[in-house]
Amino acid sequence: MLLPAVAASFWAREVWSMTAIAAPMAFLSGAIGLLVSFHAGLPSGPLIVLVAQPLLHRLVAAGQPRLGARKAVASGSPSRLSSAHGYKHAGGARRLRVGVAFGAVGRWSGFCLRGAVEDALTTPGAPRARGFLLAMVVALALVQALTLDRPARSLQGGGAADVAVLGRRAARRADVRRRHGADGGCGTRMLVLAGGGNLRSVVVFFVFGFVAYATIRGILAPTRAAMMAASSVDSCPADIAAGGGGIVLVPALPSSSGGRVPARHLVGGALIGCWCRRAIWSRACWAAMSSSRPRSRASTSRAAAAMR
Amino acid sequence: VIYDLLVAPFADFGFMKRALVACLCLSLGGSSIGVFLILRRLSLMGDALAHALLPGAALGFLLGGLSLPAMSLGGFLAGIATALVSGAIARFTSMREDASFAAAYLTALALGVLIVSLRGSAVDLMNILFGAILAVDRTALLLIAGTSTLTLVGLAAIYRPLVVECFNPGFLAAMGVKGALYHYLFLALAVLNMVAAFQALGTLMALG
Repeated sequence: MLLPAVAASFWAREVWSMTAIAAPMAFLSGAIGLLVSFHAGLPSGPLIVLVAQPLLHRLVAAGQPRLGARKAVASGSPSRLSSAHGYKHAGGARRLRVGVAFGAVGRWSGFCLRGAVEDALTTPGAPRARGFLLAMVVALALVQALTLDRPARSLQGGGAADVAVLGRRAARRADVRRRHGADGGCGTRMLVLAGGGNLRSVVVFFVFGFVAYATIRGILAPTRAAMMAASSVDSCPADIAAGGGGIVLVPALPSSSGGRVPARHLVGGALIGCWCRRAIWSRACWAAMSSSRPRSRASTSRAAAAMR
Repeated sequence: VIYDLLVAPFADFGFMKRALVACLCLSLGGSSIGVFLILRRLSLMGDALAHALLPGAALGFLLGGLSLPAMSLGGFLAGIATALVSGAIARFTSMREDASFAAAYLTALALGVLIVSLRGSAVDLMNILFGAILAVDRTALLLIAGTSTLTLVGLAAIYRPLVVECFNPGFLAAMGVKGALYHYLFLALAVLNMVAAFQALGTLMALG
């Protein structure tokens, strides 16, 4: 009764909005407490209160206007996180180096899909969007160069394009992409922000997760399969590279529509594109391997069963 | 896996389902009460009030056994009585209201534990002190849901004067409205919610 209200008081300025925040929060802590007590075999009443307690602390921490501290956390975020990630996965110093370098470049160039979309819509010159597109071009070209001696099966294999189109299936094959540092930084940054107690990033993170899950084996799986089929083109890899690259390169060119674009966006984009080559390549191999099994149909039927 | 972890417990077990519904009802009614408790700087007093339910619940337990309606009625009466008595003490003596609440609730807690141990076992005492949300049955659920309905309707009815009372009691008095009336109505609603939460979280943590 009281704990969620206390937490809500840091978030709302009016009585009604405070109530509106407190009620779902109370229900959430109740539900989490019940689940934990069910799985751990502990008494539920105290657990509910105990769950509400850290929730309260996180929210209080996030509600406080300690912008300086939060900014510090955010600015150090991707590199610190990816380095920690590389360290944990004990692939050795090389992965650590890649992670740190990627994190630094991503940070420096503001590489971010959400930011790119925002730029494209609002900022003249759209620096981040340019950087993102350039990264896609470089990745596309490099991957197609890898496949010159083999018949490329589809745009899919080299396509960062449909990754962007599908609204960034971030968690999909997240391990591959993150290990090779191909993640734009949104996910990791959100994780860090969430650790700092940012409620909004927690929500976004959950939405990411749910959408990704739905895309892999949930309600969006048929759509994904359809898009994969639609973007598969049987043609010579050089064609794809030229055509796709041309389409993407035109808006990516820095001088095309005026507006000064800081060089760091473009350089960063190009560098990230180089990194993406590896990530996408392994992703394509993975996809080729797994598509030899009738995986998508199985997952579709599983999704159907889940819906029933 | 996610299904097993998050949904299956509620889908498979009736008691979990009931507990979840109880949670929903309590969070709807209780959190709005909690907001006003904070606004009125009554958080600790509310806690004291919740503890004060104990002797009433214990009397109900003594007379009616472990039946929820008896204990709830007893708890409600005891809570109202505590609120009124401590209000009266504050008004007629030089003691301030928070101090009188603390005194009243300590007495009530001691009295309640004493009464329960007259007849019940340690298990009963634990049940009353800490509640058992997993043991919520149909009657209790109806009670809780009814309480939260009543709370929301009641709060909606006294919302405006209550908010004004919180922020600018002088203005309310100047308008010729009796703020104390709304204060006590609100306290009654709070006690009602605590009685409802009592089954789930027990008297010691009903305010949580």
